[in-house]
Amino acid sequence: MPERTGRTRLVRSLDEHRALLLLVGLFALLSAFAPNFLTVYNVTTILKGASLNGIVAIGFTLILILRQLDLSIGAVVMLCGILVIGLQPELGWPGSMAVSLAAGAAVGLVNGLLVVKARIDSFIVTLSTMTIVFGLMHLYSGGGSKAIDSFAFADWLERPIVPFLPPMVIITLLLVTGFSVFLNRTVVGRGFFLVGGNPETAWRAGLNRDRYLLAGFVLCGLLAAVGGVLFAASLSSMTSAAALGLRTLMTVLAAVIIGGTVMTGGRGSVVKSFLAVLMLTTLFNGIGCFGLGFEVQIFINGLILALVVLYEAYVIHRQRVLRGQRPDLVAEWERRERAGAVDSEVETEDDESMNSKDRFALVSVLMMALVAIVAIAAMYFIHSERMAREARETTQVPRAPVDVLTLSGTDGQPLVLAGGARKVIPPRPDDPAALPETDAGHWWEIEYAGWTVEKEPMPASPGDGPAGKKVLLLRAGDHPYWTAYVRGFKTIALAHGIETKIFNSNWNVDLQAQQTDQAINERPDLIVFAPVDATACTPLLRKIHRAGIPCLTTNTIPCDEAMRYCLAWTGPDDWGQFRMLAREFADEIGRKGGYAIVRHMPGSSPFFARTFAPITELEEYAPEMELLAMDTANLEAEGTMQLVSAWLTKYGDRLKGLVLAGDGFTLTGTLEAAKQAGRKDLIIVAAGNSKTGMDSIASGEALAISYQSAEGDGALAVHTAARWFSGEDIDPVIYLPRHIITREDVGHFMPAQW
Amino acid sequence: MNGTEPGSRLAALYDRLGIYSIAILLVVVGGFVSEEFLTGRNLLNVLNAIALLGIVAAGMAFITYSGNLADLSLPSIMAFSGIICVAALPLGLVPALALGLLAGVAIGAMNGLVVGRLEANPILWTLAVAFFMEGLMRFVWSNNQLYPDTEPGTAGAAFIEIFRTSLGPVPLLVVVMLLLFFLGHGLMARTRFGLETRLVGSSREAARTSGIRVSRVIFLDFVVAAFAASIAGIFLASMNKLGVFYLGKTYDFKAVTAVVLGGVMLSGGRGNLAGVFGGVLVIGLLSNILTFLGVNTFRQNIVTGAIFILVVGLHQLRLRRLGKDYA
Repeated sequence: MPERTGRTRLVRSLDEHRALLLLVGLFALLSAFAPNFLTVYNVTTILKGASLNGIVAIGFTLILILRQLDLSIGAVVMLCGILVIGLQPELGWPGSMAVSLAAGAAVGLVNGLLVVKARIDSFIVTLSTMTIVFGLMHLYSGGGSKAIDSFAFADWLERPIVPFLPPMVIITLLLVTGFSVFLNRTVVGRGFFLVGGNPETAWRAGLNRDRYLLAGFVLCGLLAAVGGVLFAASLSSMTSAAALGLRTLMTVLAAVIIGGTVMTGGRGSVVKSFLAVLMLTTLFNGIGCFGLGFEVQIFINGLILALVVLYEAYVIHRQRVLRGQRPDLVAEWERRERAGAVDSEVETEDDESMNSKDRFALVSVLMMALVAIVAIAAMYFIHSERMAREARETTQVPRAPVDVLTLSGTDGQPLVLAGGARKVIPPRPDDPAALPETDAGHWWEIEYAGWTVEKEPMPASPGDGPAGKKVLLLRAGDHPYWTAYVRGFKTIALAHGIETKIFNSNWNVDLQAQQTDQAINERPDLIVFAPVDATACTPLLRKIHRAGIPCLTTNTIPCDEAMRYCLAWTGPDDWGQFRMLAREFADEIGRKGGYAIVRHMPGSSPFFARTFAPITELEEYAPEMELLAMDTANLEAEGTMQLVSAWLTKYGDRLKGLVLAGDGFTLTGTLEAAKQAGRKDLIIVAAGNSKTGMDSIASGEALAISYQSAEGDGALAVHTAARWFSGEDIDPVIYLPRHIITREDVGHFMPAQW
Repeated sequence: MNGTEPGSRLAALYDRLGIYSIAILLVVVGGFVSEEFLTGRNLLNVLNAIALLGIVAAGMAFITYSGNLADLSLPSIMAFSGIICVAALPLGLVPALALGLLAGVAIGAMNGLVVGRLEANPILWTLAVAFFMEGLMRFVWSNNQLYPDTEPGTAGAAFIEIFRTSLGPVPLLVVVMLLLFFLGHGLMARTRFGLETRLVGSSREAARTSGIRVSRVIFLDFVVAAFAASIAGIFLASMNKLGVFYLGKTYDFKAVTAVVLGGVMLSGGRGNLAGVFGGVLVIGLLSNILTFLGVNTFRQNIVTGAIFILVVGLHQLRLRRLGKDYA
């Protein structure tokens, strides 16, 4: 039965090249249907976007071929990225790169030694080195970002020298080709497959397994370091938000498996891993072109991975069934059967039992598919119903022209909360960094970023009003706050007759960098940019500026340098709000006694604003108050509860009150800890204003929260854009009004926006 | 191995007590660090802080024990059961809890079927499920937090009280955790299912040839893990008074850490739930002591990671000395 073997061979070769096929298929599909997808600029964007994950994937493929696992790659990417930027001013590029690469290799060496010498499973080893390296990275960065002044190197890395190919991509391709040749064409390289696939034969062949493993881990660490260094260099800055590292790990793991490398060792291809990375990058890019959210991306990513895993399992199952069979004999039997020679009952039974095994697999898969389809259908029903309801709500807003100042948000407050008071800007201290952290002057450059900076020449306003303009929003990530933000943004945009499209970077600087290029490719009339990282956004804003597209920044205030490249920033006055909150806090406590601060996530700008605004303010306003402790619990309720419980036990009655960076999970955890310790007297203030926070204010559990309207935040950004389109002069920094919600007026702000 | 040398007597003590020797050491150190450490209040705080992790780890232990490394979809199971529970509250408290548990267990059953019957790689499959579920939950609830109606007298009000209920001074959560560990320990050590899991974990092939229905055993292991994670997810939602897709994040790696620290071997078939409880306890005590010492989270990460690798390394070394490192 030659046709059957032919078919099997076809299936096998399809499977063999599945990464390429998926890539080509996806690319063709998106080229045909996705708007603005098939342009030189966008294809270059995809290639650049694949370089970080692509380089990291090489090392990860090596490790999987060796039948090991390295979970520390994401952390190594971040550590080396932040080292190269942090050390560059002192050591110059060659020096800082050498140190960073050495650091990456060192982590790899430690991993390798622990696996080889201490014989601990690599999963455990790298799980713990991941934690340790993340800790080291945060310790070095202090929870902030690093940046350098010069963009020369970054520009060189990013500018194509041949069409489609900037040096960054060329380096990636060279590495991929180099390692592919090394693995496939050299004796040592082939040894990797043997050691991973069949350790015993490798041993008999005289290969030193330990040495191979050590080399593999060092190479993996080194390549992760190269990825991190290149990525940071191309941004001239680096963030310390762990999301980048974790997403890199997960994406690379998924890509390498989709590319055909197996976890059982001995099989894999660097080129296919790279193609799979490229495929996932293309997928993310294309979904962005359609303006769909991150949820669709991760959903499809999961689906592809699931199919691949299932198929792999099926192949192994099939191999086991067929092991030892002689296909030619089977074919002969079947031919005889077909000829009508029904002579053996045993035969048919055998046949059926094999079929029944297959049938069971088929039935299970079908059952799962059925359950999934029913679940998805049910959920889609819920979803579309909600969408319809929301659409009904938004269509109540009359189309342009309409007086946007009369529109109000879900909390009954006006949506456009312009007219936030301007600030009195104190003079800049000569050397802020030399002042102690408890001095307000130390933070001058962050607190008053953008007020005095000299802007680069800005594009001129068209002066013909907002109607019909196209505005892109690059949002930082998913959070209920951001859902409300987008609601406000869209409502006001609609009222102004502005067309909008939204990208979502899921708190990942890597993704935001790609989306910046994608946004430029769309040539909108204006970009509203919500930075994932206040410092690492500088090169992105500069890129937008160079493309001649006007840009407004929103929500997180970027650093001074970044403000040179945008028209203005709009958003909440985090520092000012927390200064007000601190005074309210001090007054209630009686300006005396100890307090503690639960901080925001490291790598975010509130990590500093919501910690040092109250510290510096209280230093001045209530010098007798004492800061007992401060730490982050990553905004988790359980973590916060643990932290605050320990503080309450340790400090007892000396601890009079707490300042919290959030009124959601952080507040919940704090209240639980206070309740368990029987401390009803604790004075608690927090950043607001979620439903949880306002409920606690209403019930008297917390004293005060700041009023930060999420819908107002979004509305202000797009409203400012509209004002700019009309040719109005706009301030470089536009705050939402400052207000503190207490028990007296909390009813005024109900129901909560999120 | 002669028991007369003082070094090996220490080792013998370690053999008997396992991770609890570290826990005892930590309690002693804690006593020196602060007078407040050895108070009932503080120790209860420690228990309360680790209870959610404990519940997840107790379930995860079954997966590791059966030789399937880890279930990376447990965080999404936690989030999903929490959301479903909150969404179903209008039907009443008991149906909501049942539906929440069912939703989590259903994902576990799917995982068990695929990993057990189709023999898919557990890490990769559960990673795919985690991606898939995250996308689904974000999509359906539009990235929003789902709040229950907490007016007094409603099911929602009762729901948020679940986390806040205490039996005397001991929170319900801690009681549930202890109960689950007790039951789980019995299940793992004393039942036929536990023994079969042990054999499957030690050698899937040997288990198959000795007539054990391997796929059914693995299916049940995943269901047990999902069941425990669902309980934790419901407690978490009750604590936060809402359901949302990111509740439970990072519990996968945290739980594996506790399980491995507790002496369950990653290669499967070795360890017990009493040890896992010790592992969870060590994590809680360590974090508590470091906070008392004023060590910040960044440094805590480094210390915890280092201690983790040290303990596991020593354990491995000990096993090798005894000639038990490769079963």
